[in-house]
Amino acid sequence: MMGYSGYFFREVLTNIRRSPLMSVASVTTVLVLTLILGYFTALMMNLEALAHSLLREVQVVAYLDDDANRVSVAQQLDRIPGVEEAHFVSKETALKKLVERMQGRIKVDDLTRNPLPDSYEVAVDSADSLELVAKRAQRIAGVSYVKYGEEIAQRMLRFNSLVRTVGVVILGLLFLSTVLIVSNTIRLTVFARRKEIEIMQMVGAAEWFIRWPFIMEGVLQGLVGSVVAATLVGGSYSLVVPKLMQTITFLPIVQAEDLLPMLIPALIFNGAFVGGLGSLLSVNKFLKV
Amino acid sequence: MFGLFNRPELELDTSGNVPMVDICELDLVYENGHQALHQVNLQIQKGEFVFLVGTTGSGKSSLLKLLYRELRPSSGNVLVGGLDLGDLARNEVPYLRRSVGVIFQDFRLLGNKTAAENVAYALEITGTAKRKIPSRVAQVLELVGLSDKAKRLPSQLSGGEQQRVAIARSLVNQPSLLLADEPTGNLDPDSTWDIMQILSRVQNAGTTVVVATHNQQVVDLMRKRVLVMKRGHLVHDLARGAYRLDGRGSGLHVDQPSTPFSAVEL
Ligand SMILES: Nc1ncnc2c1ncn2[C@@H]1O[C@H](COP(=O)(O)OP(=O)(O)OP(=O)(O)O)[C@@H](O)[C@H]1O
Ligand SMILES: [Mg+2]
Repeated sequence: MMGYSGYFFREVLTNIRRSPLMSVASVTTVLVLTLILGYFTALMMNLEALAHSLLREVQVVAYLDDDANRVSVAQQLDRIPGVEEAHFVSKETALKKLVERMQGRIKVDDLTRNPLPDSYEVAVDSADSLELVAKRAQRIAGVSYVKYGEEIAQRMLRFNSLVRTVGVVILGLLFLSTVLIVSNTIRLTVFARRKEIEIMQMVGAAEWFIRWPFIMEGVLQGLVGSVVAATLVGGSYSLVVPKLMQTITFLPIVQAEDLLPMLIPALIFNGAFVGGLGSLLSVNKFLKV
Repeated sequence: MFGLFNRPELELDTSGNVPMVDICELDLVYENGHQALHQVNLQIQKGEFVFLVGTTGSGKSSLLKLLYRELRPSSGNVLVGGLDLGDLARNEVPYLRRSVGVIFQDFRLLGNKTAAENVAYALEITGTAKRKIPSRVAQVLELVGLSDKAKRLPSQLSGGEQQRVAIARSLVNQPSLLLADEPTGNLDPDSTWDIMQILSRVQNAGTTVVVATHNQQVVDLMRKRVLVMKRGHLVHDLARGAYRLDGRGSGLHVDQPSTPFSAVEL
């Protein structure tokens, strides 16, 4: 194995020395495409976070009959799959909140009696459970009616899955085009060496033996390009996000330390993978048996 | 790892119990539908030296390509050292090539490597231990008389010398079969003779040698077995033969046709 890796290493160095411009072209290709990929992923993550934070606001509210058994309702709510927590809101609290929300336009004193019912605010584990939880809660004895942000929830859900689908499709396309562009760039270097490949096959070099130096070269170029790109993405993100958070307080922006530890290794790994795969594809074009 | 080290079991039978080359009812049809070989039957024994002659386009190169599995037979069988090349898996082909040396009219050397490096290359790719390489290289370069020019690039060598490097490279893995496709096509008579002497020595060392050539003088002088091809047919198989192309058309006239052949008229 040592003999082989020495040989591969020498081959890679010789090739890069022999066609430095080609290496620059491949590295730049990976760099630019990784930048696009990096920023796009960051955008996606933020959109997801936004959708999630909006959905978390949505909850099921079960209003109780006047003579309802609080404890029994709570027990039955807890037994519904998808329910995380049921929080009791007494009619007094509800009234207080209402008065607060109306900001003095009504006063408790104006009312001869409290028209609001007792209720449970039910937190659910995911937005997908909203509808089911609402239906089951409605059937519990002592629950007069159930409310949840049906419209908003549906719209949020649709938005969320749209973001996810579009994002995955675009990421896939980006990945594919990166492989193709890199493989095309590398194809030129392989083409320049097709005679050499032919000779290697003639004297009995195994196919993987021929491929390895090219793959290693591609991986190396992919690594260089993606490390630079990932550094740029990471640097700019951690610089811009704190400033954004100060100005746009109402948006849940993903913190640099939550995003980058995952994004940067992923980008670098992707760059190496794409470089190697691009190389493999182009060298295969010139291997014939 | 990735098929790099698990070498398929692939050994040619070089005991002499089976023919080195055994071709049986071979047809070769190219992808464009052109049939380059018709019902070729042929046996070459271990240690033989065989000339393959015939007008241009008669199928000599095609036949050689089948012997190092550059091509697959369309029908019939090609056996080398008892191994049916039609059955050879893709990942076995490199191992066949280590037992079958090939040289060409255009030498096919790597221009950026010295003579010695070109030869060493054929050892490196087979995973030969590094410390064993220099002595093996020196040995084959000596055999072809190029010890003093080992450090030269191909561009600093004459055509004849380049072909000798190519022969050294083809021999360094100790093949059982050496195939040469017009090895002297680009060479002057002196170099041609050098090359033929080297090939003769290779045969004497026990390697089977097959040489496709247009060089009538060489064939006539060396008096080896001669196979004559015409339009894809093997039309004559002559022990200690000779051939001559005379001025009348493109007809191929063969002296002392020893083997009766029913195939095709000349
Ligand atoms: N790749 C190919 N596709 C189709 N036809 C081919 C191909 N290679 C060769 N041929 C045809 O097959 C026939 C035999 O070709 P081949 O190269 O074997 O002849 P040859 O005897 O080596 O000729 P020469 O003496 O000129 O080298 C020719 O008619 C040639 O045109
Ligand atoms: Mg030919």
